[in-house]
Amino acid sequence: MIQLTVVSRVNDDKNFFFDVIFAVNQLQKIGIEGIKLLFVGEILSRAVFESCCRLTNLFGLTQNVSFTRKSIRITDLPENVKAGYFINFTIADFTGYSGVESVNLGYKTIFYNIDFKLAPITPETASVCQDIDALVKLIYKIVINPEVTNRLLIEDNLRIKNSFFLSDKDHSFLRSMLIP
Amino acid sequence: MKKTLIISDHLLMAGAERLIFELVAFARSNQLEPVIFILNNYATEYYDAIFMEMNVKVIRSRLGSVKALRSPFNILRAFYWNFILKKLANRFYKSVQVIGLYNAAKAYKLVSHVHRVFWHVTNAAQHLDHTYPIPVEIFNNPDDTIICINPYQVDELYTQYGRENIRAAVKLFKLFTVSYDPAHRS
Repeated sequence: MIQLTVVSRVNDDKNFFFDVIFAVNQLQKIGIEGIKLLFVGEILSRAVFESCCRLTNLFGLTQNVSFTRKSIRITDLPENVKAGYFINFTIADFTGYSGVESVNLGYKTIFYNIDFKLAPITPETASVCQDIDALVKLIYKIVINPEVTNRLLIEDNLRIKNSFFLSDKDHSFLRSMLIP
Repeated sequence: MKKTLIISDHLLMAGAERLIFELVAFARSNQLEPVIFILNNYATEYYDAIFMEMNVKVIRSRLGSVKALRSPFNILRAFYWNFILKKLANRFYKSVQVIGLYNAAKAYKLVSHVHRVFWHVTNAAQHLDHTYPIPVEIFNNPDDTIICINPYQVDELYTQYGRENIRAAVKLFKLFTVSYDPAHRS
């Protein structure tokens, strides 16, 4: 059993949920069962939400996929969710605050690039997936070789975590933007 | 106490709002008092309680036309803030931080300040046809600064609008956290 969680408001500027549902379907086809996928986030677009439900249905994944339908702080999520993997939508290797939050809290995070145009230049590191094939491959590796894959993933997460702290130079720059 | 004004349109549990929170934390630890102005949205949202607890002033008011407003109190407050932000922002605030180019477009003609900083918080892939629905006019003022949080945004802006059409200063920075930083200076 593998728990995957996406923390994102469900809105039309975050309309990449199909990709993760598709990944679960792809994995099922190659014999990986028992994947649970949870979407945590307020429904701000009815169309995006309903399309996800429909796709879930068509793939026969209604027992695997669920939606909280409201925004919940990562820290308030149940322990089994925190023990699983967070999948974060990125632009190449750039992540937003939900990714910052899950790595800061020390939860295993997979970064998945959603911009097809940037896939070729997205650096493939242990926790960054440049496209859907890379995402499916990584989840597959986690299932068949968890120890090594997790170790490398956690190391990579730590590298990413450190990138959000402010260096002295960053401090100076930010200060100059607020107090010119 | 020196102040900075942070303008946005929501205080939901979401990324742009988390950026506001981090800017608030940074400002406070640099002897700068943040004031938050939420445009055209009178709801009570996730961060309202958090900022109230932190004693950070949050103003929810309307910028621009007050025609849709009913409450006389809100109408008067809207007139007041429209006037302050148009005529006196330079006197009250050291800088004006606008979160999101979509909000910069709303505030562009209504908030005057010599140090406006527009935080660009989306990428082209989030918009229809990979195209920002933002008019090029918001890049006209060389006193404004556009802060990009990833290099892909810089490429996207230059490609879509043409480098020569962006007169505001484009700076590449990043998303940051001071609230988690073990080295955070309080």
